[in-house]
Amino acid sequence: MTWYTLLPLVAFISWGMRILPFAVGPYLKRFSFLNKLEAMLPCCLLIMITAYTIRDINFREAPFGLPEIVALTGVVLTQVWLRSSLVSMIVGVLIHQCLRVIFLTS
Amino acid sequence: MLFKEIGCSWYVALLYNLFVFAGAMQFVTLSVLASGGSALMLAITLIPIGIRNLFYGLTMLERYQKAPTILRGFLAFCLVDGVYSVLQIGPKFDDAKEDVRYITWLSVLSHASWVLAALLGSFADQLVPIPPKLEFTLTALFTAVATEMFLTQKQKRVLGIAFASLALAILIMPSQMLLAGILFSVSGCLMVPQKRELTA
Repeated sequence: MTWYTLLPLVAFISWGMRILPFAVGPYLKRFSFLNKLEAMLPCCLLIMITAYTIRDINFREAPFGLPEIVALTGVVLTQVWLRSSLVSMIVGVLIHQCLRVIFLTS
Repeated sequence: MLFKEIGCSWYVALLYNLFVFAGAMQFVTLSVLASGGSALMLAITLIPIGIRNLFYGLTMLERYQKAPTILRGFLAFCLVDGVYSVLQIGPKFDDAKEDVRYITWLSVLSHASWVLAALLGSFADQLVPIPPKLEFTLTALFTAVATEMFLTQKQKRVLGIAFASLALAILIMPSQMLLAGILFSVSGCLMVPQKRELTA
């Protein structure tokens, strides 16, 4: 199995799964339950993915996931305060990096 | 960088990034490739990872419908986590043409930066020390977008559904928590508004 046999396969799977809803979507649209999903699902999906990106944190060992918890709290607070995702994102990354360095050296 | 570690040259990395615009899938492909799994096994592992893109498409149907078919194929290809979250909070133009133009630019730019980053990564990994854990940028972005969506929609039920499904997913199948979480939220979203309609 080499990379040039795999490339089309992986490309096909990733693209196919993104195109599928657009291909079958118009037929599904007549079901009203989809409108409900449209209103509430995006926010849920984002929360799932956020959790998924930090799934490897070990809460039982120091630093107990504290950098992530504090940084994400910072993101939420900044967002409520300034309503700018770019600023919140930068604040979050800065807090996270600083805390990581502090916990690593202590 | 990672491609180099398993002994692929830079043009392989470039091709992969050009045709497969999917971070998680590429990591998995590499690990399956490195462990010598079969193509079938790879496909079975990849599909659950891609499933969330199905739901992205479903919630974006209307906005993407305005684009011509061929362009829509490309735009769907570019509808990744990052683009999706920016679209959710970014401007939404009333004029259909303008909206399509905006989505197209966003997609092209993010794909271009992706390919460029792969090129840089395969050449410059010895030159520049890359700070560790920078992938937290994405976590922060998703959190900011989720907060913003909650602030504009003001639906407290959404938080309940999301965290309940998250907890359930982690409890029941930690290894497939993303997939399980998505399925639980879908069913949660379907159940909750219906209940309210009945009582109203």
